[in-house]
Amino acid sequence: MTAFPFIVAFLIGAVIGLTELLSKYTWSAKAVLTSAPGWGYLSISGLSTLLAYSFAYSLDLLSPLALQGEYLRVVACSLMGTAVLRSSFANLKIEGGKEFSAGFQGILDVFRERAETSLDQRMQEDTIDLVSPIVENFSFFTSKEHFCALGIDLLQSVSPDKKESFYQAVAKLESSPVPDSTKMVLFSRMLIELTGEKLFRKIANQVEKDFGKANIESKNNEKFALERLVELKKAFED
Amino acid sequence: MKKDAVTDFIGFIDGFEARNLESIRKQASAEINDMQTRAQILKELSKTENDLKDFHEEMIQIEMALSSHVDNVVQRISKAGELLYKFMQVVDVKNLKTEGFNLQIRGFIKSFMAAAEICKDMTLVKEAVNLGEIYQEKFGES
Repeated sequence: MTAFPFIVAFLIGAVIGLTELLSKYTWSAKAVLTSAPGWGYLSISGLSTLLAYSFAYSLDLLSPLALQGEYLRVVACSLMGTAVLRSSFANLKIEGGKEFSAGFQGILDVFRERAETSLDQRMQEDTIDLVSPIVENFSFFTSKEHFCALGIDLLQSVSPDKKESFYQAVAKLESSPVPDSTKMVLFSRMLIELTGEKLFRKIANQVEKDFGKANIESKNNEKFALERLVELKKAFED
Repeated sequence: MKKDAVTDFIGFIDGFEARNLESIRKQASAEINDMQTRAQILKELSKTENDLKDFHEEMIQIEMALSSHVDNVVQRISKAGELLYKFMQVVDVKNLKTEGFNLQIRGFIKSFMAAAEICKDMTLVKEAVNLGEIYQEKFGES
């Protein structure tokens, strides 16, 4: 008996875990592979497959596949074992109607939820860190249309439904009671999902070139209104 | 990026807005309560005092705008501010003798400005500035 099939089984489990996370977080393999919870989930997923393979090995369930090559046996057994271990056949219902997964899947769910929360926060942080300095001098009120025109309007890969959903969200954001700078960050956070970082930066450069002055004026008007409010508030103090 | 977020932009903004409005509601609750109380007093004054009777309908509308169950907290404040501004534009304060009227209007605007500062919403900020300025113009003081 060599350790090699067990390593392969572990790797298969880790890859299954990775595809699970990537199915929810597209384009974020880097974030998954550079975060501790991401690695935690891949390891626990790898362990579950290793466990499945070990069971099959010790219970001699591999004999029907005896004529097949070692690689095929470990792959087939790991996948089938994983399917059994991670299926929901052992879901239990407790008082109050709440359902939970019994066995290994329950443990996996805990790790997966932790990994997802951490990835969510990490990607949100990354996006804000990326977007905030770029749009610092932009006014949402002045520049949103130019960003849209240069961004998603020309992107053929964005479906009409997605464009419609985006514009509805922008219209909602427009009437949202938040400062213009917050609107600009939220707007960019959505837009960058469709354009990607590189195109987004190019659009920002172009809008700054064409409408930089209008953006500064708009920001100054906002600043002036807030300063005037503080002044008036002081005058109204008893 | 999370796949769901890509297709659900509206959900993303809705979620943000709900949390934001809840936070404003909590932070500005003292100011909103103060405005509601003053709107009620103004409504009662306009019912009983002769010099304010012409404005009874306006005062009812201001009070109703603040307690609307349809609008969100910011829309309620904004509508009340708009109505008060319209009232301030037409009212001739020299003919108003009712004691306490000035005090209630002044208090209302003060709370409105505090709420606008909490929200930092530009529509509210501009309304608050307009209200402050028209008050100073009409009453010749702050």
